[in-house]
Amino acid sequence: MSVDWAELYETTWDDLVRYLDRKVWDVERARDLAQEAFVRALAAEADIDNPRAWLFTVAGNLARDEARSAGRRRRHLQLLQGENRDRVEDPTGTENVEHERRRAAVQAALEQLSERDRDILLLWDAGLSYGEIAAQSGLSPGAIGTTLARARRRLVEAHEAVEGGHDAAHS
Amino acid sequence: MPHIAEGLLHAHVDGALAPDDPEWIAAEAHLEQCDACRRRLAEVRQLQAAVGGILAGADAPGAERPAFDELVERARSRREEDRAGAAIRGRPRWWRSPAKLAWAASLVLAVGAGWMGRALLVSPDVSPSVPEVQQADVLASDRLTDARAEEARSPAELGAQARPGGQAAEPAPAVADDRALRGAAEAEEAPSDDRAADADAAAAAAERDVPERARMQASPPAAEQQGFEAKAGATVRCYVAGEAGGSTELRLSPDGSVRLRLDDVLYVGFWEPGGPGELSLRLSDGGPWLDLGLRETDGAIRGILAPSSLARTLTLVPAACGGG
Repeated sequence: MSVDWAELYETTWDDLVRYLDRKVWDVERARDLAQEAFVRALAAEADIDNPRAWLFTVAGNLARDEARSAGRRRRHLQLLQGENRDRVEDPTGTENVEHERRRAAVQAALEQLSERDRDILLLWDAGLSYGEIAAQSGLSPGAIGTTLARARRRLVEAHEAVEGGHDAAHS
Repeated sequence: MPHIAEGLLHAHVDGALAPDDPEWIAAEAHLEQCDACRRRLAEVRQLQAAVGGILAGADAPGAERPAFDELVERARSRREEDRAGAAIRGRPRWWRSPAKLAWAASLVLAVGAGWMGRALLVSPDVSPSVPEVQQADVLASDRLTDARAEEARSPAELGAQARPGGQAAEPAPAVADDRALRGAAEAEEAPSDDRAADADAAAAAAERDVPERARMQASPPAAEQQGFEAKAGATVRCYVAGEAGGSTELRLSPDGSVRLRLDDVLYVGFWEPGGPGELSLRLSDGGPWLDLGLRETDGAIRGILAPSSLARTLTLVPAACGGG
Protein backbone atom coordinates (compact mmCIF):
# COMPACT_ATOMS: atom_id res chain seq x y z
CA MET A 1 0.00 0.00 0.00
CA SER A 2 1.66 3.19 -1.09
CA VAL A 3 1.60 6.24 1.06
CA ASP A 4 0.19 9.52 -0.15
CA TRP A 5 3.14 11.59 0.96
CA ALA A 6 1.81 14.81 -0.47
CA GLU A 7 -1.22 14.55 1.73
CA LEU A 8 0.75 13.42 4.75
CA TYR A 9 3.06 16.36 4.20
CA GLU A 10 0.14 18.76 4.25
CA THR A 11 -1.49 17.31 7.32
CA THR A 12 1.60 16.58 9.38
CA TRP A 13 3.90 19.49 8.63
CA ASP A 14 2.72 21.86 11.36
CA ASP A 15 2.73 19.15 14.02
CA LEU A 16 6.18 17.98 13.02
CA VAL A 17 7.62 21.48 13.13
CA ARG A 18 6.04 22.12 16.51
CA TYR A 19 7.37 18.81 17.84
CA LEU A 20 10.85 19.67 16.67
CA ASP A 21 10.63 23.23 17.91
CA ARG A 22 9.96 21.93 21.39
CA LYS A 23 13.11 19.89 21.20
CA VAL A 24 15.58 22.24 19.56
CA TRP A 25 13.87 25.50 20.62
CA ASP A 26 14.64 27.17 17.33
CA VAL A 27 11.82 27.51 14.85
CA GLU A 28 14.05 28.00 11.83
CA ARG A 29 16.02 24.93 12.70
CA ALA A 30 12.83 23.01 13.42
CA ARG A 31 11.64 23.75 9.89
CA ASP A 32 14.94 22.64 8.42
CA LEU A 33 14.82 19.39 10.35
CA ALA A 34 11.19 18.79 9.45
CA GLN A 35 12.08 19.16 5.78
CA GLU A 36 14.98 16.81 6.28
CA ALA A 37 12.71 14.18 7.81
CA PHE A 38 10.39 14.35 4.81
CA VAL A 39 13.24 14.25 2.33
CA ARG A 40 14.54 11.12 4.00
CA ALA A 41 11.10 9.57 3.92
CA LEU A 42 10.73 10.33 0.24
CA ALA A 43 14.24 9.12 -0.53
CA ALA A 44 13.86 5.87 1.38
CA GLU A 45 14.15 2.88 -0.86
CA ALA A 46 12.06 0.60 1.32
CA ASP A 47 8.38 0.95 2.10
CA ILE A 48 7.58 2.58 5.40
CA ASP A 49 4.98 0.79 7.46
CA ASN A 50 3.78 3.47 9.79
CA PRO A 51 4.69 6.71 8.07
CA ARG A 52 3.69 9.18 10.73
CA ALA A 53 5.41 7.27 13.52
CA TRP A 54 8.44 6.91 11.23
CA LEU A 55 8.56 10.62 10.50
CA PHE A 56 8.48 11.50 14.16
CA THR A 57 11.11 8.89 14.93
CA VAL A 58 13.44 10.36 12.33
CA ALA A 59 12.65 13.84 13.58
CA GLY A 60 13.42 12.79 17.14
CA ASN A 61 16.77 11.41 16.06
CA LEU A 62 17.61 14.55 14.13
CA ALA A 63 16.74 16.63 17.16
CA ARG A 64 18.95 14.48 19.33
CA ASP A 65 21.86 14.85 16.93
CA GLU A 66 21.19 18.55 17.02
CA ALA A 67 21.56 18.58 20.78
CA ARG A 68 25.04 17.14 20.50
CA SER A 69 27.97 19.42 20.08
CA ALA A 70 27.64 19.53 16.31
CA GLY A 71 24.49 21.54 16.44
CA ARG A 72 25.63 23.62 19.38
CA ARG A 73 28.90 24.52 17.76
CA ARG A 74 27.23 25.39 14.48
CA ARG A 75 25.03 27.82 16.33
CA HIS A 76 28.02 29.26 18.14
CA LEU A 77 29.66 29.69 14.79
CA GLN A 78 26.67 31.59 13.47
CA LEU A 79 26.69 33.63 16.61
CA LEU A 80 30.30 34.56 16.16
CA GLN A 81 29.93 35.35 12.50
CA GLY A 82 27.07 37.69 12.97
CA GLU A 83 26.07 38.62 16.46
CA ASN A 84 22.97 40.42 15.31
CA ARG A 85 21.93 37.86 12.79
CA ASP A 86 19.52 36.09 15.10
CA ARG A 87 17.96 39.30 16.18
CA VAL A 88 17.35 40.41 12.62
CA GLU A 89 16.03 37.07 11.48
CA ASP A 90 13.81 36.33 14.43
CA PRO A 91 10.77 38.57 14.24
CA THR A 92 9.48 37.67 17.67
CA GLY A 93 12.76 38.05 19.47
CA THR A 94 13.12 41.71 20.16
CA GLU A 95 9.50 42.60 19.59
CA ASN A 96 7.89 40.22 21.97
CA VAL A 97 9.90 39.71 25.09
CA GLU A 98 6.98 38.19 26.88
CA HIS A 99 6.61 35.51 24.25
CA GLU A 100 10.26 34.60 24.53
CA ARG A 101 9.99 34.44 28.27
CA ARG A 102 7.00 32.16 28.01
CA ARG A 103 8.87 29.89 25.66
CA ALA A 104 11.76 29.76 28.06
CA ALA A 105 9.40 28.86 30.90
CA VAL A 106 7.90 26.00 28.92
CA GLN A 107 11.35 24.79 28.02
CA ALA A 108 12.45 24.88 31.64
CA ALA A 109 9.34 23.01 32.74
CA LEU A 110 9.72 20.34 30.05
CA GLU A 111 13.30 19.78 31.05
CA GLN A 112 12.12 18.65 34.46
CA LEU A 113 10.66 15.56 32.87
CA SER A 114 12.67 12.49 32.05
CA GLU A 115 13.64 12.30 28.42
CA ARG A 116 11.23 9.46 27.72
CA ASP A 117 8.30 11.06 29.51
CA ARG A 118 8.95 14.32 27.71
CA ASP A 119 9.16 12.68 24.33
CA ILE A 120 5.95 10.75 24.76
CA LEU A 121 4.13 13.84 25.95
CA LEU A 122 5.33 15.79 22.93
CA LEU A 123 4.35 13.01 20.57
CA TRP A 124 0.87 12.95 22.01
CA ASP A 125 0.61 16.69 21.70
CA ALA A 126 1.75 16.39 18.10
CA GLY A 127 -1.34 14.33 17.42
CA LEU A 128 0.00 10.81 17.35
CA SER A 129 -2.28 8.05 18.54
CA TYR A 130 -1.34 5.64 21.32
CA GLY A 131 -0.73 3.04 18.62
CA GLU A 132 1.67 5.31 16.74
CA ILE A 133 3.43 6.33 19.93
CA ALA A 134 3.76 2.68 20.87
CA ALA A 135 5.31 1.95 17.47
CA GLN A 136 7.76 4.76 17.89
CA SER A 137 8.70 4.24 21.51
CA GLY A 138 8.40 0.52 21.95
CA LEU A 139 6.11 0.90 24.94
CA SER A 140 2.90 -1.06 25.15
CA PRO A 141 -0.24 1.03 24.63
CA GLY A 142 -1.18 0.34 28.25
CA ALA A 143 2.05 1.84 29.50
CA ILE A 144 1.49 4.97 27.46
CA GLY A 145 -1.48 6.07 29.50
CA THR A 146 0.57 5.66 32.66
CA THR A 147 3.49 7.56 31.18
CA LEU A 148 1.28 10.39 30.03
CA ALA A 149 -0.33 10.54 33.45
CA ARG A 150 3.04 10.98 35.09
CA ALA A 151 4.34 13.37 32.44
CA ARG A 152 1.32 15.62 32.60
CA ARG A 153 1.38 15.93 36.37
CA ARG A 154 5.09 16.61 36.32
CA LEU A 155 4.78 19.26 33.63
CA VAL A 156 2.05 21.15 35.42
CA GLU A 157 3.98 21.07 38.69
CA ALA A 158 7.19 22.14 37.03
CA HIS A 159 5.52 24.90 35.08
CA GLU A 160 3.86 26.23 38.20
CA ALA A 161 7.20 26.23 39.94
CA VAL A 162 8.87 28.13 37.10
CA GLU A 163 6.07 30.64 36.71
CA GLY A 164 5.76 30.96 40.47
CA GLY A 165 9.39 31.93 40.62
CA HIS A 166 8.84 34.47 37.88
CA ASP A 167 5.78 35.92 39.59
CA ALA A 168 7.59 36.14 42.90
CA ALA A 169 10.45 37.98 41.30
CA HIS A 170 8.18 40.44 39.58
CA SER A 171 5.65 41.09 42.31
CA MET B 1 -13.34 -3.20 42.24
CA PRO B 2 -10.48 -1.06 43.50
CA HIS B 3 -10.17 2.52 42.33
CA ILE B 4 -9.44 3.08 38.66
CA ALA B 5 -5.79 3.13 37.63
CA GLU B 6 -4.41 6.53 36.69
CA GLY B 7 -3.17 5.32 33.32
CA LEU B 8 -6.59 4.02 32.42
CA LEU B 9 -8.22 7.33 33.22
CA HIS B 10 -5.79 9.13 30.98
CA ALA B 11 -6.19 6.60 28.20
CA HIS B 12 -9.94 7.09 28.34
CA VAL B 13 -9.73 10.87 28.29
CA ASP B 14 -7.29 10.57 25.37
CA GLY B 15 -9.79 8.50 23.45
CA ALA B 16 -7.38 5.63 23.18
CA LEU B 17 -9.68 2.95 24.51
CA ALA B 18 -11.89 0.86 22.28
CA PRO B 19 -15.62 1.19 23.10
CA ASP B 20 -15.78 -2.47 24.06
CA ASP B 21 -12.60 -2.42 26.11
CA PRO B 22 -13.34 -4.71 29.04
CA GLU B 23 -11.16 -2.73 31.45
CA TRP B 24 -13.08 0.43 30.74
CA ILE B 25 -16.44 -1.26 30.93
CA ALA B 26 -15.53 -2.38 34.42
CA ALA B 27 -14.25 1.10 35.21
CA GLU B 28 -17.49 2.72 34.12
CA ALA B 29 -19.43 0.47 36.42
CA HIS B 30 -17.14 1.54 39.22
CA LEU B 31 -17.57 5.21 38.39
CA GLU B 32 -21.28 5.00 38.97
CA GLN B 33 -20.59 4.18 42.58
CA CYS B 34 -17.43 6.03 43.40
CA ASP B 35 -17.39 9.78 44.00
CA ALA B 36 -13.66 9.85 44.42
CA CYS B 37 -13.00 8.35 41.01
CA ARG B 38 -15.49 10.65 39.36
CA ARG B 39 -13.55 13.54 40.82
CA ARG B 40 -10.30 12.03 39.62
CA LEU B 41 -11.70 11.68 36.13
CA ALA B 42 -12.70 15.34 36.09
CA GLU B 43 -9.24 16.21 37.37
CA VAL B 44 -7.60 14.25 34.56
CA ARG B 45 -9.63 16.19 32.01
CA GLN B 46 -8.47 19.43 33.58
CA LEU B 47 -4.91 18.21 33.65
CA GLN B 48 -5.03 17.34 29.98
CA ALA B 49 -6.37 20.77 29.12
CA ALA B 50 -3.79 22.49 31.30
CA VAL B 51 -0.97 20.67 29.57
CA GLY B 52 -2.33 21.66 26.19
CA GLY B 53 -2.41 25.26 27.31
CA ILE B 54 1.11 25.18 28.67
CA LEU B 55 2.58 23.67 25.54
CA ALA B 56 0.62 25.99 23.28
CA GLY B 57 2.17 28.92 25.12
CA ALA B 58 5.46 28.01 23.53
CA ASP B 59 4.16 28.07 20.00
CA ALA B 60 6.01 30.26 17.57
CA PRO B 61 4.25 31.71 14.55
CA GLY B 62 4.10 29.28 11.69
CA ALA B 63 5.53 29.99 8.29
CA GLU B 64 4.93 28.73 4.81
CA ARG B 65 6.06 25.22 4.27
CA PRO B 66 8.13 24.58 1.15
CA ALA B 67 6.39 23.21 -1.91
CA PHE B 68 6.10 19.47 -1.91
CA ASP B 69 7.70 19.21 -5.32
CA GLU B 70 10.81 20.83 -3.93
CA LEU B 71 11.11 18.05 -1.39
CA VAL B 72 10.56 15.40 -4.03
CA GLU B 73 13.40 16.87 -6.02
CA ARG B 74 15.70 16.93 -3.02
CA ALA B 75 14.75 13.36 -2.27
CA ARG B 76 15.67 12.35 -5.79
CA SER B 77 19.20 13.75 -5.51
CA ARG B 78 19.47 12.32 -2.02
CA ARG B 79 18.67 8.88 -3.33
CA GLU B 80 21.37 9.17 -5.96
CA GLU B 81 23.90 10.35 -3.42
CA ASP B 82 22.98 7.50 -1.10
CA ARG B 83 23.48 4.98 -3.86
CA ALA B 84 26.82 6.44 -4.81
CA GLY B 85 27.84 6.60 -1.20
CA ALA B 86 26.84 3.05 -0.42
CA ALA B 87 29.34 1.69 -2.90
CA ILE B 88 32.26 3.19 -1.07
CA ARG B 89 30.78 3.77 2.35
CA GLY B 90 32.01 0.46 3.62
CA ARG B 91 35.53 1.73 3.59
CA PRO B 92 35.96 2.01 7.35
CA ARG B 93 35.02 -1.64 7.64
CA TRP B 94 37.24 -2.54 4.76
CA TRP B 95 39.98 -0.68 6.46
CA ARG B 96 39.88 -3.21 9.23
CA SER B 97 40.05 -6.26 7.03
CA PRO B 98 43.35 -8.12 6.83
CA ALA B 99 43.66 -7.42 3.14
CA LYS B 100 44.11 -3.76 3.73
CA LEU B 101 47.44 -4.37 5.40
CA ALA B 102 48.86 -4.67 1.93
CA TRP B 103 47.33 -1.37 1.05
CA ALA B 104 48.56 0.24 4.25
CA ALA B 105 51.99 -1.12 3.52
CA SER B 106 51.86 0.41 0.07
CA LEU B 107 50.84 3.70 1.59
CA VAL B 108 53.73 3.67 3.96
CA LEU B 109 56.08 2.64 1.21
CA ALA B 110 54.82 5.53 -0.87
CA VAL B 111 55.33 7.82 2.07
CA GLY B 112 58.78 6.47 2.68
CA ALA B 113 59.66 6.73 -1.00
CA GLY B 114 59.46 10.49 -0.97
CA TRP B 115 55.77 11.12 -0.97
CA MET B 116 56.08 12.60 2.51
CA GLY B 117 53.84 15.59 2.56
CA ARG B 118 51.57 14.30 -0.11
CA ALA B 119 48.44 12.97 1.51
CA LEU B 120 46.21 10.92 -0.71
CA LEU B 121 42.68 12.09 -0.91
CA VAL B 122 39.92 9.70 -1.64
CA SER B 123 36.51 10.64 -2.93
CA PRO B 124 34.06 11.75 -0.29
CA ASP B 125 32.22 8.90 1.29
CA VAL B 126 30.43 10.97 3.82
CA SER B 127 26.84 10.90 2.74
CA PRO B 128 25.44 14.33 3.53
CA SER B 129 22.46 12.85 5.27
CA VAL B 130 22.86 14.85 8.43
CA PRO B 131 22.35 18.56 7.87
CA GLU B 132 25.09 19.57 10.28
CA VAL B 133 27.61 17.49 8.47
CA GLN B 134 26.48 18.94 5.19
CA GLN B 135 27.20 22.39 6.41
CA ALA B 136 30.49 21.38 7.92
CA ASP B 137 31.45 19.69 4.68
CA VAL B 138 31.11 23.02 2.94
CA LEU B 139 33.19 24.74 5.57
CA ALA B 140 35.88 22.10 5.60
CA SER B 141 36.04 21.33 1.90
CA ASP B 142 36.37 24.97 0.96
CA ARG B 143 39.69 25.02 2.70
CA LEU B 144 40.76 21.66 1.40
CA THR B 145 39.81 22.35 -2.18
CA ASP B 146 42.59 24.79 -2.95
CA ALA B 147 45.20 22.33 -1.91
CA ARG B 148 43.51 19.38 -3.50
CA ALA B 149 45.65 19.04 -6.56
CA GLU B 150 46.00 15.27 -6.39
CA GLU B 151 43.43 13.16 -8.10
CA ALA B 152 41.28 10.99 -5.92
CA ARG B 153 42.30 7.39 -5.96
CA SER B 154 40.21 4.43 -5.00
CA PRO B 155 41.68 1.99 -2.51
CA ALA B 156 41.48 -0.75 -5.09
CA GLU B 157 43.87 1.15 -7.29
CA LEU B 158 46.25 1.64 -4.44
CA GLY B 159 45.95 -2.02 -3.66
CA ALA B 160 47.03 -2.65 -7.22
CA GLN B 161 50.08 -0.56 -6.57
CA ALA B 162 50.94 -2.84 -3.71
CA ARG B 163 50.73 -5.94 -5.78
CA PRO B 164 54.36 -6.09 -6.75
CA GLY B 165 55.43 -5.90 -3.13
CA GLY B 166 52.37 -7.06 -1.23
CA GLN B 167 51.72 -10.54 -0.05
CA ALA B 168 47.98 -10.87 0.21
CA ALA B 169 47.18 -8.33 -2.46
CA GLU B 170 45.46 -10.70 -4.87
CA PRO B 171 42.42 -11.58 -2.81
CA ALA B 172 42.24 -8.02 -1.55
CA PRO B 173 39.63 -6.58 -3.93
CA ALA B 174 37.20 -9.45 -3.49
CA VAL B 175 37.43 -9.40 0.28
CA ALA B 176 37.21 -5.65 0.29
CA ASP B 177 34.10 -5.53 -1.88
CA ASP B 178 32.36 -8.15 0.12
CA ARG B 179 33.06 -6.44 3.37
CA ALA B 180 32.24 -3.08 1.88
CA LEU B 181 28.80 -4.26 0.87
CA ARG B 182 28.13 -5.98 4.13
CA GLY B 183 29.60 -3.25 6.23
CA ALA B 184 27.91 -0.36 4.44
CA ALA B 185 25.06 0.14 6.83
CA GLU B 186 26.99 -0.65 9.97
CA ALA B 187 29.94 1.51 9.06
CA GLU B 188 27.55 4.34 8.50
CA GLU B 189 26.36 4.08 12.04
CA ALA B 190 29.58 3.39 13.86
CA PRO B 191 31.40 6.65 13.18
CA SER B 192 28.27 8.76 13.35
CA ASP B 193 29.11 10.02 16.81
CA ASP B 194 32.54 10.91 15.61
CA ARG B 195 31.19 12.49 12.51
CA ALA B 196 29.00 14.76 14.55
CA ALA B 197 32.04 15.72 16.55
CA ASP B 198 33.97 16.22 13.32
CA ALA B 199 31.36 18.53 11.93
CA ASP B 200 31.55 20.38 15.19
CA ALA B 201 35.29 20.62 14.82
CA ALA B 202 35.07 21.70 11.22
CA ALA B 203 32.79 24.48 12.26
CA ALA B 204 35.31 25.46 14.87
CA ALA B 205 37.99 25.40 12.22
CA ALA B 206 36.04 27.81 10.08
CA GLU B 207 36.07 30.26 12.93
CA ARG B 208 39.79 30.47 12.54
CA ASP B 209 39.44 31.96 9.12
CA VAL B 210 38.82 35.27 10.84
CA PRO B 211 42.34 36.15 11.87
CA GLU B 212 41.61 38.58 14.64
CA ARG B 213 39.42 36.17 16.55
CA ALA B 214 41.08 34.82 19.63
CA ARG B 215 41.87 31.22 19.12
CA MET B 216 39.77 28.95 21.27
CA GLN B 217 42.03 26.87 23.38
CA ALA B 218 41.31 23.20 23.37
CA SER B 219 41.98 21.52 26.68
CA PRO B 220 45.65 22.15 27.30
CA PRO B 221 47.92 19.20 26.50
CA ALA B 222 50.03 17.66 29.20
CA ALA B 223 52.88 20.01 29.83
CA GLU B 224 55.43 17.42 30.73
CA GLN B 225 56.57 14.60 28.60
CA GLN B 226 56.03 11.35 30.39
CA GLY B 227 56.83 7.80 29.61
CA PHE B 228 54.06 5.78 28.08
CA GLU B 229 53.17 2.15 27.82
CA ALA B 230 54.59 0.78 24.63
CA LYS B 231 52.30 -2.22 24.77
CA ALA B 232 50.19 -1.64 21.69
CA GLY B 233 46.83 -3.29 21.81
CA ALA B 234 46.42 -2.74 25.53
CA THR B 235 46.70 0.95 26.15
CA VAL B 236 45.82 4.26 24.69
CA ARG B 237 48.94 6.00 23.41
CA CYS B 238 48.98 9.76 23.63
CA TYR B 239 51.27 12.34 22.14
CA VAL B 240 51.43 16.08 22.26
CA ALA B 241 53.17 18.69 20.19
CA GLY B 242 56.90 18.77 20.78
CA GLU B 243 57.36 22.36 19.76
CA ALA B 244 56.00 25.19 21.84
CA GLY B 245 52.67 26.73 20.96
CA GLY B 246 49.70 25.27 19.13
CA SER B 247 47.53 22.64 20.68
CA THR B 248 48.19 19.31 19.11
CA GLU B 249 47.29 15.97 20.53
CA LEU B 250 47.29 12.53 19.08
CA ARG B 251 45.56 9.65 20.76
CA LEU B 252 45.86 6.12 19.44
CA SER B 253 43.44 3.64 20.91
CA PRO B 254 43.87 -0.13 21.04
CA ASP B 255 40.66 -0.66 19.10
CA GLY B 256 42.20 0.99 16.05
CA SER B 257 40.57 4.38 16.41
CA VAL B 258 42.53 7.59 16.46
CA ARG B 259 41.87 11.15 17.51
CA LEU B 260 44.08 13.94 16.31
CA ARG B 261 43.49 17.44 17.56
CA LEU B 262 45.30 20.01 15.52
CA ASP B 263 44.73 23.66 16.32
CA ASP B 264 41.22 22.99 17.60
CA VAL B 265 40.27 20.94 14.59
CA LEU B 266 39.45 17.43 15.61
CA TYR B 267 40.27 14.64 13.18
CA VAL B 268 38.89 11.22 13.93
CA GLY B 269 39.54 7.98 12.18
CA PHE B 270 41.50 4.78 12.16
CA TRP B 271 45.11 3.84 12.57
CA GLU B 272 47.18 0.86 11.68
CA PRO B 273 50.77 -0.04 12.31
CA GLY B 274 52.66 -0.21 9.03
CA GLY B 275 56.21 -1.30 8.61
CA PRO B 276 58.56 -1.10 11.59
CA GLY B 277 58.19 2.24 13.33
CA GLU B 278 55.46 3.35 10.97
CA LEU B 279 51.81 4.20 11.35
CA SER B 280 49.10 4.70 8.79
CA LEU B 281 46.17 6.89 9.62
CA ARG B 282 42.92 7.63 7.90
CA LEU B 283 41.34 10.76 9.29
CA SER B 284 38.42 13.01 8.73
CA ASP B 285 37.37 16.30 10.21
CA GLY B 286 33.91 15.88 8.84
CA GLY B 287 35.10 16.25 5.29
CA PRO B 288 36.72 13.76 2.97
CA TRP B 289 39.04 11.14 4.40
CA LEU B 290 42.69 12.09 4.58
CA ASP B 291 45.43 9.53 4.59
CA LEU B 292 48.56 10.13 6.52
CA GLY B 293 51.68 8.21 7.27
CA LEU B 294 53.58 8.83 10.46
CA ARG B 295 56.91 7.58 11.56
CA GLU B 296 58.08 6.82 15.08
CA THR B 297 61.70 7.68 15.64
CA ASP B 298 63.46 8.17 18.94
CA GLY B 299 60.19 7.93 20.81
CA ALA B 300 58.60 10.80 18.87
CA ILE B 301 56.11 10.76 16.06
CA ARG B 302 56.70 12.74 12.92
CA GLY B 303 54.61 13.30 9.87
CA ILE B 304 52.94 15.85 7.69
CA LEU B 305 49.26 16.50 7.51
CA ALA B 306 48.41 17.79 4.08
CA PRO B 307 46.94 18.99 1.90
CA SER B 308 45.13 21.63 3.80
CA SER B 309 45.87 25.09 5.02
CA LEU B 310 47.12 23.35 8.14
CA ALA B 311 49.96 21.71 6.28
CA ARG B 312 52.79 21.40 8.69
CA THR B 313 55.28 18.96 9.98
CA LEU B 314 54.07 17.25 13.09
CA THR B 315 56.46 16.30 15.77
CA LEU B 316 54.71 14.71 18.67
CA VAL B 317 56.20 13.35 21.82
CA PRO B 318 54.67 10.88 24.23
CA ALA B 319 52.44 12.32 26.89
CA ALA B 320 50.11 11.28 29.63
CA CYS B 321 46.63 10.82 28.29
CA GLY B 322 44.34 13.64 29.22
CA GLY B 323 40.72 13.12 30.16
CA GLY B 324 37.95 12.92 27.59
